Amino acid sequence: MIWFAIIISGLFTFLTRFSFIGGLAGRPLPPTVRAMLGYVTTAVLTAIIASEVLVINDHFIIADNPQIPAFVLAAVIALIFRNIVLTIATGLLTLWVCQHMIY
Amino acid sequence: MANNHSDIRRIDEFILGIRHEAPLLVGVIPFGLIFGVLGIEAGLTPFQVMTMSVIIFGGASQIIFLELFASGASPYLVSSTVGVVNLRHALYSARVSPYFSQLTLGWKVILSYLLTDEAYAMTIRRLENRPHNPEMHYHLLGTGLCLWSSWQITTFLGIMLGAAIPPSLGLGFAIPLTFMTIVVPYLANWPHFVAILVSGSIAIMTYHMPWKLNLIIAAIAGMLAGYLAEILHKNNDADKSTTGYSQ
Repeated sequence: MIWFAIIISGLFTFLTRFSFIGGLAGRPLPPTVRAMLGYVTTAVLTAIIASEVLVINDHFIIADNPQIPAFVLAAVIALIFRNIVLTIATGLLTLWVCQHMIY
Repeated sequence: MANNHSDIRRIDEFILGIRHEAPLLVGVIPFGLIFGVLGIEAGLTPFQVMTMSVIIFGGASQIIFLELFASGASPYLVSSTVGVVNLRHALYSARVSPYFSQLTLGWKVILSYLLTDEAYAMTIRRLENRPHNPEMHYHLLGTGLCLWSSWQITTFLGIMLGAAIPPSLGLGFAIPLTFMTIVVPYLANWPHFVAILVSGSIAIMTYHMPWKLNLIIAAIAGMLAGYLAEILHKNNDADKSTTGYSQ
């Protein structure tokens, strides 16, 4: 099952990249589609972020959710330093501290 | 002589591509390591993690794969989400295709495989801003292979690292954190900000839906919202007639 998913994902991705270079696409992309594609990445990533941070074990949790302070602090660090390693370290450490000391 | 000259041009273009790509590796190296670690944490075998980097070769989409796979999503949902996330590469393909129309099929296949965000970002600048040269596809070969080898090596190192880290540390939270570092720079851009706000809210409002369908619905809503915000924004600024950003 996982191999199926890996191979199909790879095939989708390759065919997208090959579409115009290889002449698969008959005509240029309509401007509307081009404009919307510009928002695919932010939209998908945000949807995943929101459901990862705010939903725990299939429950929407705001109160007593240690992931929220950890995420917010990491976001502040990301905004200031634009550094992926520092951001992740901050988030994981804060989560760990919140889980063990506060909640 | 002619042959000699084109050989030199090829090498020059290739080296130039590598030199242009090198600064971007600062962002790619930690990302590859994180992917390798998370792949092991998600329960994949080292071989599966490594092969995924070779077959898909697409940063964020591979981490999305892990996230969905670990949460028990069906292979259909996993691969369609990866496919949707990578649809933006069609834009890149369209933009570079006029420069590569004379190449053989083999070249087109190799260059398409290597057409990632980072390779495209540097090569499109060379294609559009420097003098035309029949060997300039070697530039994309340079940026692409530079990125490809870094991605494979860091995936491998991440797998090693992941095997050494006990699963009890709960590194799964690194996934939303990693995505957040990608999204954060877009907060300053109004249409993207709207897309983020709408997508995040819809994902939460529909979280109870089966098969993680909330992600697809939220993503589509976010895309539409971003597009609408862009149009309204442009209409507001129409009298200023500046060119703005190029995303």
